[in-house]
Amino acid sequence: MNGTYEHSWQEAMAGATIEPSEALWNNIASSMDTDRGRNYWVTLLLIAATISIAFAIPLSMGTLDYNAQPNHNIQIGQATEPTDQIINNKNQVTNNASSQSPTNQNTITPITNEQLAISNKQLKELSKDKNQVTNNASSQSPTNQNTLTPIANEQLATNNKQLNESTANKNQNAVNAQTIIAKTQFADNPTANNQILATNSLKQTEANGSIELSRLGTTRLSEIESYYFVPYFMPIEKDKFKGTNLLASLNMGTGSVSNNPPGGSFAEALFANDQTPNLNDVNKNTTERSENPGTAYYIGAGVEFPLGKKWSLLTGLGYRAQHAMGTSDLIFESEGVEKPLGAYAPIVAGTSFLSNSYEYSVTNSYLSVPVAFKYPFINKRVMLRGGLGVSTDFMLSHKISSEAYGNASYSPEEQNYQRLLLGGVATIDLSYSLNNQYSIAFETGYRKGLTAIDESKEYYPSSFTVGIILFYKIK
Amino acid sequence: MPISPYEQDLIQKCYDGDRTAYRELYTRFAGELMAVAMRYMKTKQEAEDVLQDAFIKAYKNLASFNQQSALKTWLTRIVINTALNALRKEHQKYQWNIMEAEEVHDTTSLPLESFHYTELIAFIQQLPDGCRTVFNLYALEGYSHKEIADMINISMGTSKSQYFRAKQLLQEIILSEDAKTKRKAI
Repeated sequence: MNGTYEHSWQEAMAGATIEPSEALWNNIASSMDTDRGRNYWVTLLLIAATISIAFAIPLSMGTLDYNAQPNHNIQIGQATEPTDQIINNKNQVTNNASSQSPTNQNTITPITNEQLAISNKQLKELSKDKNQVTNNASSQSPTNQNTLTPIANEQLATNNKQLNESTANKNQNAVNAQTIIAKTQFADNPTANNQILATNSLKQTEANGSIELSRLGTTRLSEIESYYFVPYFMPIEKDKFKGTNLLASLNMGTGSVSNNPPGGSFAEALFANDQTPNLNDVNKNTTERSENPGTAYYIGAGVEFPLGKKWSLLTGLGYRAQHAMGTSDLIFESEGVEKPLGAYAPIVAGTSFLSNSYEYSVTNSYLSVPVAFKYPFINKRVMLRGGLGVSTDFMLSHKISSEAYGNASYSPEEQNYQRLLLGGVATIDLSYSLNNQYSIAFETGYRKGLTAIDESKEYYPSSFTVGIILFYKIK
Repeated sequence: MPISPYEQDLIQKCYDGDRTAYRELYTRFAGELMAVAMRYMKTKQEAEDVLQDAFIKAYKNLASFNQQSALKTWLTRIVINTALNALRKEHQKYQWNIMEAEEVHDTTSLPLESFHYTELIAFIQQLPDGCRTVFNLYALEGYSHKEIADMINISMGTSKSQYFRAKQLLQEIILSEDAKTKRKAI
C-alpha cells in the first residue's frame, strides 16, 4: 500500500540501531526482580485460593437447620388427667377412626372428655401390657379419605381386643424400647382402606390440654435455615476487569441459624447459632428435638457481563451441600421399613413420633443459579461494590443418616419440601486486582428467602454469608 | 517468518527464568528496538523509558508469544504499543495540535541517502507528536490509515492529514539540512 516515498524511508532506516545507555539493563533487571516479587505474592495468593477451594468442602462452616416448630396445632378436645401408669409406661393410644367420617376434608373433629375418658381399668391394662390402644374402625366408613372423627368410648372399648393384637404386630417398631406415641397414616394405604391413624398420647394431652388435628396432613414442620458461602456475586475491578469474566467461587466463613419468622431478620440470622426450638405443640414435653450447625460448601462457576460503565450482571451455576447434626424423635415408615427423619421434617404419611430421640446427620444438596447486578461505590484499585439479585436453588436430594435407623435419601416431594427455592440477596464486597487477568474478592452477603421451603409457606430461609471469589478476565 | 531454533531456545530459557538468557535477548535486540523507540519519542530518555517498559512487558508475556512471527517483530510491536501508550498518557487520547494539512503532491525526491539514520531519526523527532506518530506508523511500520485510525483513536481523515503534514515538514527539514550540508561542502 505504501509507495516509493515510504519505501525509500524504510530503506534508509533499515538496520538502524541505537545503543541504549548501560544503566538501562540494570533498570530492567531491577524491575524484573520487583515484578518477580510481586508475582511471588500473586502466585501465593493463587495457591492459597486453590487450596481454599480444595478444602472449602470440609472446612467451610455452614448450617442447615430444620428449625421450624412442628406446627400441628393438634387439639383433641380437653384432655383428661392421664394416669401415672400411662406416662411412665409410655404407652400410646392410637385412635384410628379415619373411616368413620361421612366427610373427607382432612379434618379431625374434637374428641370430648367423655370420649377420652377411658376407664382406669382399661388404662391399667394398657399400661401393664405396654400396648397401644388403637381404634381401628376403618371398615365402618362409607367415605374414608383422611378423615378423623370422634372416638367413642364404645369404640375404644370394643376395639381393645383388636388393639392388643394390632399392638403385638406394631411392637417390631419399638426400636430401643421406644414406644410410638403418635402415628399418622394417610390415604396411601389402600389395604387399610385409606385410614388415618390420628394418634394421641395421653402425655401429649397432658402437656397441651387440647390437641387439634385440623391441619394434620398438610402442616409442615420444617424450615431450613442455612449459612453457607455462596458466591452469588463475583466482583470485578474497574477498567482492568471491564469485560466478560469467568468466575470461580469457593466457600468460607461462618453463620448461624435462627428460629425466624417468615423472612427472618439479620440479627436473628447472625447471632442465633444453635437452638432448641420451642415446641409448643404435641411434642412439647416429649423428647428433645434440635439440629445444630454443620458444614456446608459450595462450588460454582459463573460469568460476568458488563452493563454500561459501572453496572454488571453476574450469573452462574453452582453445587451446594449443607450438613447438620441433630436429634430427632421422628421416623418415616415406608413399605415396612423405618427410616430416620430430621427433627423438623414435614409430617407426611408414614411419619411416626417416638418417645425417645436418636442422633442423626442430614445433608441437603442443591443446584444454585444466581443472577445479580453489581454497582461500584468505590471504584479504585480496591473496589467496593454493592449487589442485589436473586438466586434460584434447585434441591437435588435430602439425605439423612443415623445409627438407630440407618440411612435414608428422600426426594423433596417425598417429604413435602419445595424443590425450587428463590432467594433475594444483598451483598457488599471488596475486590483487589492481582494482575491484568485475575482478581480476588471478599464478600459478605445476606440472603432472604422469597419463597418458602415448606408448602405451608411459613418458613423462609435466610442466611448471612462470607465468601471469597477468584475471577479471570476472558475478554 | 517462523522463529529460529536459536530464538526458540532463548525464549524457553527466558521462560524458565534464566536471567542470563534474557540479558542475551536484550543485548541482541536492544539496539534495534531503541531506534524504533527513538522515532516515536522526542528524547533519548523518553525512548529508554519506553524500551525499559517494553522489555519488562515482553518478559512477563513471553508465554503469549506464539512463535509464529519473528521474535524481533513481536518485540517491535511491544515497543510501538508501549510508545503509543506513553504518548496517549501525555496527550490524553491524542488531542494533539492537529492541523489540517493539504495533500502534498510534491515530486521532489528527498536525498535520504545523504543522511545517516541517526540524523533521519533526529529529523523525525522534530515533528509534532501527532505527525510523528502517524508518519512512523504509516511510512515506516507499514500500517494503513484505517489501522492507524483504529490504533490511536483518530479518524482516517486525521491520519491522512497528519501524514501529509509530516511529509511536508520532513521535506522542509531535510531540504534545509541538505542545503546546509552542501553549503558546508562548498
